[in-house]
Amino acid sequence: MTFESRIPGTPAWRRRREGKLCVEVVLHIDEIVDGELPASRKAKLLEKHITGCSSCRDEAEVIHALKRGIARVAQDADAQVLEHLNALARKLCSGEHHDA
Amino acid sequence: MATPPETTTTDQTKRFEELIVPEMPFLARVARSMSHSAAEADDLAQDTLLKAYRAMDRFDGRHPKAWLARIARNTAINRDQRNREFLLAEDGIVEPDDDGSDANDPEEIVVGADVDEVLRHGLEALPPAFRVVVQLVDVEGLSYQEAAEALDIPVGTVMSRLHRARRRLRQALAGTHLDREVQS
Repeated sequence: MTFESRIPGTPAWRRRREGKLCVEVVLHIDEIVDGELPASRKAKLLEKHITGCSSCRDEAEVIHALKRGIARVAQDADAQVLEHLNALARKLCSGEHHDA
Repeated sequence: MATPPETTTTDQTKRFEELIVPEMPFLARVARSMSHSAAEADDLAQDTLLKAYRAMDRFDGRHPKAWLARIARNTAINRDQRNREFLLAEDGIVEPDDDGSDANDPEEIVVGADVDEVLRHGLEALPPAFRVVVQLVDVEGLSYQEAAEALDIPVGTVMSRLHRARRRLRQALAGTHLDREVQS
């Protein structure tokens, strides 16, 4: 660590600070993308950092894309399971089932 | 002191129709995420629905999805030792192998039929304890807190399982062709 990087406001200090924020983003990336990071000064700082840091933005985009993909492939219920459930629900609601 | 009115079978059925019946697709999906096969999911979903019906008088009406998921989870772990082991799995079992590929590059995340197939297989390969967390958070939109309550695990465990499951899925996707959905 250089002496300059310890002096607030210098380019080296800003680079060191941004590097630390990258680490923080990676540590909290799931919470950030899921909107689960509690509102705080730190959260605002990380959000601002992501806007200006391409690698952190990429990291967030990967998780967003993954979430979209998961939702796409896992959103359909198994047709047979659903059919059986609906049939059972109808029986329960009509009093036909012995448990109703 | 006034005595609360008794819940009649008609009231119970009405509440069941209003609160639970609309959640049948949710229950089918969650039961699948907790099961090893479609047949097992079928049994689990129906057992859960019956238990939910019987317990309607004890349901406060809030968060039907979380309530159903909790019944399904308890039903699954009580069913047999195999499910118990899978649903109470330790976090360590899903640690992905590091094959050196770059799963962090958005260029590597693919969109399209190939990706969907890889994702389906990836989800299938996850242990149910992890798959159900992904299902509840990424597909059903539950918060970490709601998922934790539904599964009776700490929020930290939800976060850890979600993170590890996503890492494994990213690992599975690494090297596939990208259609750059991330830039659309």
